[in-house]
Amino acid sequence: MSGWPAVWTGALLTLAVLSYLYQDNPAWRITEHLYVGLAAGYGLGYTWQNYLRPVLENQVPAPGGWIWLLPLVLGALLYTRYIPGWDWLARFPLGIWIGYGAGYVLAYLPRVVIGQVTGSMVDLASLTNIALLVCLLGGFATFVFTLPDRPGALRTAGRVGRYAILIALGVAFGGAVLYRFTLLYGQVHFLVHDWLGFGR
Amino acid sequence: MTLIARLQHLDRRWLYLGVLVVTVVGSIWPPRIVPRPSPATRAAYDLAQAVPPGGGVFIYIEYGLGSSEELDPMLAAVLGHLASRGARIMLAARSPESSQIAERVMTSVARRFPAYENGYGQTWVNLGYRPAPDVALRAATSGIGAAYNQVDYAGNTLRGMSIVDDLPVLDRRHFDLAYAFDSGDGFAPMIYYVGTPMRVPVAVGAISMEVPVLQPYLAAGQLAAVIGGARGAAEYEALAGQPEQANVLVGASALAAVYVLVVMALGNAVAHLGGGRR
Repeated sequence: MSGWPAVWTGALLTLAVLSYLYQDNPAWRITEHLYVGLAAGYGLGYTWQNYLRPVLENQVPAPGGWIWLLPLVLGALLYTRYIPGWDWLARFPLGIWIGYGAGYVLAYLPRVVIGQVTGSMVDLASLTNIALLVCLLGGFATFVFTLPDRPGALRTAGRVGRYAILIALGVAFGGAVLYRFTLLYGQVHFLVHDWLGFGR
Repeated sequence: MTLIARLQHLDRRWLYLGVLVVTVVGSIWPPRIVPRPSPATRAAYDLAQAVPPGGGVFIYIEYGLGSSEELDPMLAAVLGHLASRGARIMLAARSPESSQIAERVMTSVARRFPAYENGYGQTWVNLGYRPAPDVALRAATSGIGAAYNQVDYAGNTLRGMSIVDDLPVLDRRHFDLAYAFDSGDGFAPMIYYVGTPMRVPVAVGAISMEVPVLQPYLAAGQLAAVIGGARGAAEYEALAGQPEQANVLVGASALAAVYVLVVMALGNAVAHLGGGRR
């Protein structure tokens, strides 16, 4: 077994978290509260150390650096929504935020989306490409809700699309399960090898 | 109570215990499985293999500790392969946490290659993290030094570093390949700013649950290659001839996947035979 306090702390906290799978218990509750408290404290320190401090120490004092205070002021304006009578000021940062987002989308997204559209125009010489076209059109048909009485062909295409979407979601879910297993494996590996000392 | 009825009312904690046992067994005696490389992983390997000695490779790291189990071995395998090719590697990060990961993995890889162990600033550099990292990435397509405020991960000046002098702009003229190691949407800015406008081939190393999302980009040619999850990492290790961590991980995952399949089959059979839904 490891003699390192850090390893012991990690191992005991891991076991406390896993104990919830048996039933709710005080060890789990303590760990849960510890985690939330640490995450909040870490988040605060992280933001100060990595976002605010470098800007305030390095960029604001530089020539023309006053402009860096502008985002700080805009960010602070968000909190005016808690001050009755001044809450309209919070709309300015939100407006800039949404405007930036719209500009970003207009500037960069079309090239990528057009690439996706042209990428779906494939030569129907292989079974894969035929499946791609069928699933693509079926997927579109699934989300046609504007016609009050959908023709039979559209309904059938929609059903094909629904199955295609289900298969895609199944694949994504399978990937998610495997991904979670690798996380569990990492933690079990830590317990078995780093804490208990198997195979060292 | 019949066996079917008992299984129908089985306490789910037995299933959790089964998961734990399978994972512990997989950790102590991992089955050695060397998967056959998929075309997407082979494409990633071939891209790295085509980088000439001294060629530039930009690596953008987005993931945090939660995805380290899958992506660290993948990143190590790719960096090891690039180092064996003599590529010049420029790392940048999308969060402070990922800049630490970049430093840790690259430093451990560099120990195996003297040119990298003693060649910081010449053969590789860690640009680290800047607030608004995607803006920094976009600015790097005009000038890397200015985009990263002329300092690296540790605060050392980039001025005078030969790698930054020789590869000053993130474009096709200076870089042969760009990689995103990603557990979320870190691949998107690489396509928007680097792949599509600058024509630098972009490959992605992704966690397994993100792989389906990447397929349309791969099919449209907006991504040149994808390495998917632990399996993709193991495939890359096999191609590079250095089966290590990912190979062990994929063996343990396979054991868990078999357990899940057995439980699913058993659960469905019991529900069918018992006529219930539990």
